[in-house]
Amino acid sequence: MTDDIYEKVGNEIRTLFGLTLVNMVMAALVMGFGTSFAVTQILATVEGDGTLFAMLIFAVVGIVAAAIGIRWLLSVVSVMEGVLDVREKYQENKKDSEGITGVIVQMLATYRSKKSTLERMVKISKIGGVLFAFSGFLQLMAFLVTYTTGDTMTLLTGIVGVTVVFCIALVCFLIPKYYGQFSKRWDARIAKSCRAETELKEKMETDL
Amino acid sequence: MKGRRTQYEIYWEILVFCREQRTFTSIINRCDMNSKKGQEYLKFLLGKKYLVVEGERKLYMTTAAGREYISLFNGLYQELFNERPGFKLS
Repeated sequence: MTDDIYEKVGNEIRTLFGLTLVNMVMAALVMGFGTSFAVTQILATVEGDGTLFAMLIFAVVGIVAAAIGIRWLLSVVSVMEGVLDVREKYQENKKDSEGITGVIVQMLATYRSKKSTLERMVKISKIGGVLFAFSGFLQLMAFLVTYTTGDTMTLLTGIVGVTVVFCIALVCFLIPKYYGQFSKRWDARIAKSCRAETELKEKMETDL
Repeated sequence: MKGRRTQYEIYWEILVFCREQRTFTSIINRCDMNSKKGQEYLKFLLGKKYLVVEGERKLYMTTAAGREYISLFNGLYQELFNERPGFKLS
């Protein structure tokens, strides 16, 4: 039973680490794309190239996206810190009963302290998904309006560009789904640990 | 240990650490708590006879009753992972 639980705990830590890493990449992408978009629009505004009002709106959207990306990244870093602590404890511990229990206690403690950050991260991820989907839609419209040459390379570049943006949007929507599964599992464990503590309390009350 | 631990988890940590004789300072350092909280927890565990103080150096040591608590705690907490399936991306 000890080996079985040790493997389960290890798998869960590895999965959570991977998920958090993907989250970090997405946050960095939102920040990067937002900044790039804002700068492009601001430069276009300065050069007087296009409708001023529209460019300013897009510049604000880009700045907001960059700010959301930064907030998201900070949340992910906080969660990653907890995940790395747990992973370190798991790797250091022997496969004995106390070692495994120690890792489980660490995971519970980390989840309790990071729960609100995880919830915030999930909300921001959804916003990131909306922003990327919106950006993908704008790019598609802009491409359809401006594509006139019939050149295959230009067509392929446009399609690839739009596809990449929509794929990133999809990942941003999938991240909350997987974190939702994780949170549900750990909320159940927290509830179960409260029942376990009732049993421990009863034992302590009967002992002297 | 970072994060939010319950008092029962802290009791468990202290009792596991004190299976060998330990000083007060080493306990509060290992279990990551302040001196005042450490004194409260140790006083409680001494009252329950889960810990005893030995020798002139006042070294804390887990008793047989304390080891029973550890055993019960291990079993209950490992049960938290004894459900199928564990968290897996699907």
